[in-house]
Amino acid sequence: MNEELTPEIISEFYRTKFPLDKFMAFIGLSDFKNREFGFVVGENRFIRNISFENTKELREFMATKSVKHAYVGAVYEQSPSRYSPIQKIKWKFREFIYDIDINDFDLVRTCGCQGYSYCTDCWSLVQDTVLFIDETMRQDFGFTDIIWLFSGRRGVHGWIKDKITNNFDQAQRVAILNYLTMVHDQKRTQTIEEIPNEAKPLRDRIYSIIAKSYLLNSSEESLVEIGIAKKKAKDIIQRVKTSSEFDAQTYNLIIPSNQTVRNKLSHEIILKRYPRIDRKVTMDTRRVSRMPYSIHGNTGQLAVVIKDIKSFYPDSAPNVWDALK
Amino acid sequence: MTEIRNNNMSIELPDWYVLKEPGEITVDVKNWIEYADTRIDRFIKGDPWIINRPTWISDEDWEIVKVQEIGGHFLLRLSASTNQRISGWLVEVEGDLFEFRFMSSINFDEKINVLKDLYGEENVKTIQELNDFYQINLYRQFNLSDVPGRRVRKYSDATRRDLYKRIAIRFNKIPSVISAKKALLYKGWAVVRISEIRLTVKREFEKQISEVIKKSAVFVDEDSNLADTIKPVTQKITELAKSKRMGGSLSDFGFAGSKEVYTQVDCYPPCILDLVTILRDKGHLAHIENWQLGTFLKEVGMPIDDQLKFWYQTSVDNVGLTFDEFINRIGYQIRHIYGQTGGGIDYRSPKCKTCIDGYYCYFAHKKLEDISEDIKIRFKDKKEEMIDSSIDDISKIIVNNRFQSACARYFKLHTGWTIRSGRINHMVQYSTQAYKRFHTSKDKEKQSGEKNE
Repeated sequence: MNEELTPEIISEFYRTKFPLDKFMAFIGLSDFKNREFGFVVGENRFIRNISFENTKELREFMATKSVKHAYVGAVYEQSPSRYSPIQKIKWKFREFIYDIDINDFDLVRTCGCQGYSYCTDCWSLVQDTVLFIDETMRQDFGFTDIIWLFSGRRGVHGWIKDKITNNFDQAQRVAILNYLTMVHDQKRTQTIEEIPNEAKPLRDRIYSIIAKSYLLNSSEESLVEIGIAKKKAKDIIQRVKTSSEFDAQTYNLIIPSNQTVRNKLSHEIILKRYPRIDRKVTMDTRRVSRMPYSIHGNTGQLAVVIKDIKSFYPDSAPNVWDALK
Repeated sequence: MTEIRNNNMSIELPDWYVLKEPGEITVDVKNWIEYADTRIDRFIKGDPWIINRPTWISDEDWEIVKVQEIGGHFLLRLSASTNQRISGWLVEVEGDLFEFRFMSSINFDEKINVLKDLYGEENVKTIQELNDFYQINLYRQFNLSDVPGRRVRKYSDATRRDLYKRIAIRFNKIPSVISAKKALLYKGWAVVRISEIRLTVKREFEKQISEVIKKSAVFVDEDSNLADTIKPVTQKITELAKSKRMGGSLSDFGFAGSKEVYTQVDCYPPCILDLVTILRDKGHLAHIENWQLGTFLKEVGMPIDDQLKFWYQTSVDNVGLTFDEFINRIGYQIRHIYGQTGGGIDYRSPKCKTCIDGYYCYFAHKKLEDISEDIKIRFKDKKEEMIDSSIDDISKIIVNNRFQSACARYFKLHTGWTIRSGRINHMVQYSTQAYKRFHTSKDKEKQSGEKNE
């Protein structure tokens, strides 16, 4: 953090620099007054069930209250308020959202980072996750309007904004999550699902995006431990480093045909680098998520849109002090 | 998402498909009741007749068969519309019949058309239509085949071959199939074998037929003559509903309920043990879980008086009530299970498949980490390696959505016996087999049909 994040700085940002037009373009103009907002204000008091008649009111609220964290939720049939809390009013729609946090990889991070800390090595797990999910959403599910946002601290949020997803019920959201999930009970037993025959696109993606990173980060010794001969292990690592296009076909060509070895390697690749998602965020249609372009109250960084995840690193994300210069 | 539009919006539906608009048909009232009677009898006998038109039948004769089919179904629909219990029965038997006919139909186009009607024409495509739209060859690109795996190749008739053909359905219409990764996904389309969607399609049919039955009540309410006409049919179904035949038979599973099993809690399956624990801890269960536990206890031999005492002692509903007051006020549901109130139906406990979908299945609904903790505690006297390998096996089976197989693996850890079919089909099957293992003589064990390991 550059300097202290004071209420005055927050207030000034929301009054003068918060890109309200971009935010409105992000969530859409319709049903604005029936959209739920949530905020952390004062001494870390979390308030929900808040809605606004217009965007002017929203800006005024955030500036006057110097909100530390701002969240946006679902749209309801009525305007949420203290007297009409979201539990009592009819839900209308919610975007389909992914939450990827670096700490979800704590059990498999080998760089020494844990919790909120990160380095370029472990951040690559988040980068691969975004690339993997983005391609799966586009190729397998046919979605086209996908935006990735920096969460402001240690993760990213993926917003699938295709209209069809708005009305997905929980079963449909869970189905997509389950399709994507290969590591079950990811914070304890980390049970790996076998890749089913029909999930060919998913398998090919594992053998390209995920396998490439795994092999690039592997030593000869670690491949030997899996059962690959030393000379072959050296050859594999060399091939991955020099391949300009690494895809499932390349993977199948360079990995030994021995089925036991292939299964072991596949298991390791999935265990160590496969996407890990905070399921609750995606499943819960009434949950609030960080407001795009808002300030993260703990770091002062902004929840900006990530244009290219391959070149994005949290430390380079803009912060409130830069914005106010 | 890209939308594929089909220019040809009219689809030919088969005559056996009862959600098809019947067109104009005339039926004599006397015949009408006979048609309904015939349909009921066929349901009871489990005769899954099909009305594919034989080549030798004349147009006139075929019309008569169609009228019998449609007329019989429509009268049952009207008769069931005023009574929730009968309506549930009709949805179930029509669902079974639909599944049989859908899977047996030898005409692949017929299957496609039924799917288009159920899910909407814009949501179902043939692979050819998808290939044409995306200018792709899905079979070549993903190395797909319509040939079944080696294990099922012996089925060479047309019906069986059809089951391994693929169609494309919008992924959001079949979430359970997507969840289990049983479809190849391409641009929002689930490319899936017919055999993988049979249960999902059946459930969609049941949902729609249930709505149609509910709506039929309006006709009965508005027409007193019609209300009189359906009375004998409603009466017949109600009477039949009281018999065991309609409640489903445990002989399907190759075992019969034992009168003593209920006394041996160590033989209960994990789902029931969990429900009992929750009931003891919290004092109440969800309505369907009450039903699951109540029907199970009945079926493993618990007499109604004992069950009333069990609920009185464990549930919070007894607060401030004497036992007699409890029986009068709260005991209704238990008496209902035993057929002593309500329609007098001798209810059976749900099969595992039903529990997975709508009741409580330990392996389908409990968190993996909690299951492994439970196993460590329950079987703490067994060897650590055995527990670890069992947890490992069970976890792998669960994540592949084979919950009944996970239960069979749990059974093996519990009893040391292997279930030959590799899966538990019913809660009572679990208990009776465990009872045989732990509480009967070795002679009886040999007759059990299970392999002792």
